[in-house]
Amino acid sequence: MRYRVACDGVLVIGYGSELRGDDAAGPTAARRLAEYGLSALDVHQLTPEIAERSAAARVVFFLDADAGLTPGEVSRERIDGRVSASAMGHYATPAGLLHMARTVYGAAPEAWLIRMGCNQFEIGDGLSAEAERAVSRAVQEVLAYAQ
Amino acid sequence: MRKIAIDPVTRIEGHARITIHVDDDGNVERTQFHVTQVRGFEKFTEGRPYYEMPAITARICGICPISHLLASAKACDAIMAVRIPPTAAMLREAIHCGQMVQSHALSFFHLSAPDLLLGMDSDPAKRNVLGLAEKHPEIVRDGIALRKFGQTVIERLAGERIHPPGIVPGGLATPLDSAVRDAILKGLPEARGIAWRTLDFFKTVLDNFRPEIAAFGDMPTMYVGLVGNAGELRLYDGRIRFKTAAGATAAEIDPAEYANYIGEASLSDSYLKAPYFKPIGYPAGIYRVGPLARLNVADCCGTPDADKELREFRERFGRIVASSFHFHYARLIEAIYCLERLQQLLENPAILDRHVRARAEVNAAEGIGVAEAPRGILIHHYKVDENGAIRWANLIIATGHNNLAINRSIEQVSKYFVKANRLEEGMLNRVSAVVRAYDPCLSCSTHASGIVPMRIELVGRRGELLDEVSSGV
Repeated sequence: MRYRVACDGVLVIGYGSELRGDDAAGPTAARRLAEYGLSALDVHQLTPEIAERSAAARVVFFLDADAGLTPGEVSRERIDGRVSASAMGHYATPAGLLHMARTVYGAAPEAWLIRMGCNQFEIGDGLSAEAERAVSRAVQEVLAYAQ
Repeated sequence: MRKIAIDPVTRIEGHARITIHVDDDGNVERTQFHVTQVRGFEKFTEGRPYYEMPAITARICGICPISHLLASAKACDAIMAVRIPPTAAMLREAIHCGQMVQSHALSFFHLSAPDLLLGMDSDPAKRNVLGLAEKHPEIVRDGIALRKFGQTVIERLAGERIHPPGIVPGGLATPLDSAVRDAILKGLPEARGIAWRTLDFFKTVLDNFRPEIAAFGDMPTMYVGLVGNAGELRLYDGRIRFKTAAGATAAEIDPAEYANYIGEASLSDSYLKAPYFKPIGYPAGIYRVGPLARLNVADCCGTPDADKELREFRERFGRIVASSFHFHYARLIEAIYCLERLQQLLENPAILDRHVRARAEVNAAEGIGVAEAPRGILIHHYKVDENGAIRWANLIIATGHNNLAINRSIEQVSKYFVKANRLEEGMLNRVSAVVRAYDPCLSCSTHASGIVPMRIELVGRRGELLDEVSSGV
């Protein structure tokens, strides 16, 4: 996990396995956004302690690979932190973390989930061309918002 | 005879399944704990250079990679036949303290606290860290802060939070900078405060769990753990002490002699082996490891605050504490110990010595490294050829040591709580909870990770589904 100090209240959290092909799209996008000076976390999975970081932000972007989207495409949806009967064990969901940010730290940052369409999740490193395209689009989407 | 399956067990590391066999009247006859994953580190590392082993075996686990790094590095130290610089040993122990704190915090606050603070029979949809956050936000805040402190210690001393590059054969990659030491020391008072108030709070709820204390693996077994020269608790080094159920020392050995005292039985229904105390044999040589076992084995902790808590623990439950429910209590005492010990180590001026690594080639054909992982004693044993390539490796992991005890605890809990003719979620949660008390790391023990919803099935004699209970994670 690495990050830069937030200067504008925007926090980017890219998550996924770096060893399962396109699942690394989230961490890859987070690192690229960090190069632009954004505060970014690149993590294997979401864990409860990230709620604390999220609580300190004004806006949070969660970036994740998605096998359900057309490869190379990107979607963006607002997350409100309402959770149903789901839970958290060793992993968490963006909505679960926002819920924790609110209940534990009294903060309710604006939050977005950006899904990147990917289709190769076999063991191995490196992104497919489609995933690379999705990462580029996701980076542009966040930058456009941040600017 | 009918069968109930808990598949998989939730809020643990890795995948497991529990089968409960019941008779036609709904009474539990027998139980089985199956570990359903296999990884094969011992086999695929054959042929790799010995000095790669710490980095490779650390990948066994994302929770306790430091333990694997340490045991592996110690096995490599033995292959090089070096005594590492004293400062390197101090730094390794300090990193280990950080690891223990973060792992114990994860186990207590994130995995078991929902059962302990919301209740075993509470709504399963809310019996998780989110539900805990709604009812006890201060506890969740403390859990996050304590785990973060432990992770920060690891990151600052060893380079990364999860798989740090700083622990190497022969010692440490880099010496400690005084500014880093000071930064860690600055965070210690808050961390110690959290550990104290958590234990104080836990003591107030203990009486709510009398049935669980009585049935969560309250059984006679041996106990195994590392101790120092004065019989004190040791986590990084020391001798292996085997204690009987009555508290007598059965053996105290140099870790290099482990194979003479620990046997491993293969089980037909699980990928997890079942270690046992060789002089007694299988399965009578059942023993437990981990926080509770360590406190039973040690004469004292060796730090003031932890010793005060240990005395109270023993006054309340006896010199040898048998119920596995008390793994939780022991874990919190160990967290206090680790924070005190960390302070002792960092306040020693020698911690800043610049000489932290011994260098050598292959000087021995075999190396054994032993350390206490959060869940219990961890053994790495390698044999190498003249070029230092691994010819053979054996890893005995903490959760493996506890395999027989977990099995027996599941049976005890099931017989106490489960009545198959009126199956309720809370009954089966207790079966899972006794497994969580051991904080098993099945990813480690079979040398995988993942978590999925729990499904419990009641199956009739002819295989028909009689009842089903399911919950999310």
